[in-house]
Amino acid sequence: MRRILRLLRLEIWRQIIGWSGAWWFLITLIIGQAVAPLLGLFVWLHVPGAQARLGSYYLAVICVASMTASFENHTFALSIYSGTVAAALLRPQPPVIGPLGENLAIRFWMFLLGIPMVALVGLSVDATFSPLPVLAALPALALAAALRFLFVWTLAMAAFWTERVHAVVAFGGVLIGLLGGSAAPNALLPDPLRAIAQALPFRSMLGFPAELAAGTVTPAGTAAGYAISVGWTAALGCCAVGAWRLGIRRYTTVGA
Amino acid sequence: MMRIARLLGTAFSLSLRRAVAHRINLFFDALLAVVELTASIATIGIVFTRTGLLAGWTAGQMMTLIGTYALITGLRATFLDPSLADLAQQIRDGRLDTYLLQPATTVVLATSGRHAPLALVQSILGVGVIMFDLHELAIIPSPAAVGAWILLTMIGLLIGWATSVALASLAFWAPRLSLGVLHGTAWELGRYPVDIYGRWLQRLLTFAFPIAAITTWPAKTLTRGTDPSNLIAAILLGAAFTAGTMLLWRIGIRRYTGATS
Repeated sequence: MRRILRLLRLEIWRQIIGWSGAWWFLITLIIGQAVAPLLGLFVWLHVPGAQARLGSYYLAVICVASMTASFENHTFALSIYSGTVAAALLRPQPPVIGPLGENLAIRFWMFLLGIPMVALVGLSVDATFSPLPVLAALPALALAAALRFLFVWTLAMAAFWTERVHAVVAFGGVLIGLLGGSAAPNALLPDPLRAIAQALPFRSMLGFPAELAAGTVTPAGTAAGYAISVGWTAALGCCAVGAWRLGIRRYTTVGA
Repeated sequence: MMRIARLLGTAFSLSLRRAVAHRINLFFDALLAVVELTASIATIGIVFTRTGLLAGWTAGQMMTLIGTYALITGLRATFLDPSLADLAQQIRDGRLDTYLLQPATTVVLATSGRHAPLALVQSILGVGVIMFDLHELAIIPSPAAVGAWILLTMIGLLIGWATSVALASLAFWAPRLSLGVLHGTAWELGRYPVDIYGRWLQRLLTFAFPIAAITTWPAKTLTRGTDPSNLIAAILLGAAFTAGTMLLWRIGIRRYTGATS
């Protein structure tokens, strides 16, 4: 385990250095992650009596989106298409270390470079946060980060079967946007859509940590939300392992 | 002009023949277009369970806007995106040489020479949403309104082309600058009418990146009738953005040194 953590740390460091020259591109990625929550904010500001703490909620959604963004359809899937994933198969380490290290490095840069934008939006919407709800949201944020990675990585493995991996991942992105809390906070969804959204993993990837940070969830809702997040993390972890095993059996590259 | 149209027609025909060879891709593209459009409609449905009017727009008018957005985004994805996606990269690595040596207008060849015909599914669905919505609203637009809508849609596409090419042209001066994602992000703002944004953002989205002319004004024309001031403003904006982009491109080309020079 210590060896794996050390390998992961080295991979993250290598990727952080590799991505350090692409700061301008990273800024466009941050803006890309922020635009859907901002659209949601603009829309709901025009709805009378929509929700108290709307500005704080959507600012938290922007933070969660930036810190959990996953682009495995652009990174990992391309290594399948180009055949370079074969090199990872020959290394004496779990194959997830490469994509996970790159994912965490991109998130690190997005978090760092996104601070000015988050501050600007926060000042514009008069967002306020209390320390305790923010602390309560941190484990949910970690679960959201894990869930989003597992979800996108699993979908990106569609590259073993089809060349339309972007469409497959975009499909997942639409579900996260609609049911995850970006298009509308979960509390504003009509029934039975609200109950469905609470049971699915998409709210755990985006809206749930933001609701906790904004302090809009009841204690019972917090416990239920955490239980759902943990359950889906385990389920998506199994899906990722299954998809990898199936995909790698099908995979062939030059010389294979 | 006819020669360029023939060239683009031939390029589209070639792209179409290549695309239909991979029919499973059509399934994925169609499925994604349906899912995205359904999600947009569902979002509007969710909002209108809480209010009857969004910044002066009814649910029906919003649906026309969603249809217009899908139509124009589909056209952009079909005719512009395949060439514009790696235009900055081509400027960087010198592949632009290929277009400079060909006996046709470089900017047209380099920015609209490749097509993705399967993305037209999105446009077809968009037209379907508009027709269904107008039927539900019991609105029969006048021939003048339909003509103005078609003109505004074409101007919207032209502005989309001009802004994309202008951003990609910056690679002549700053080779590592890649603003394609930013353009795509700004385009997303067209999903809603500009009336929902604050005053300064509305001005920005009317004059600096005229998303108002791309989706809001065409949708308004169909549902509320032709507004001559919007039509004139759109024509002026389209002309100004096209002229500005052509000028930027020409200055950039003068600076371009190619792969081997």
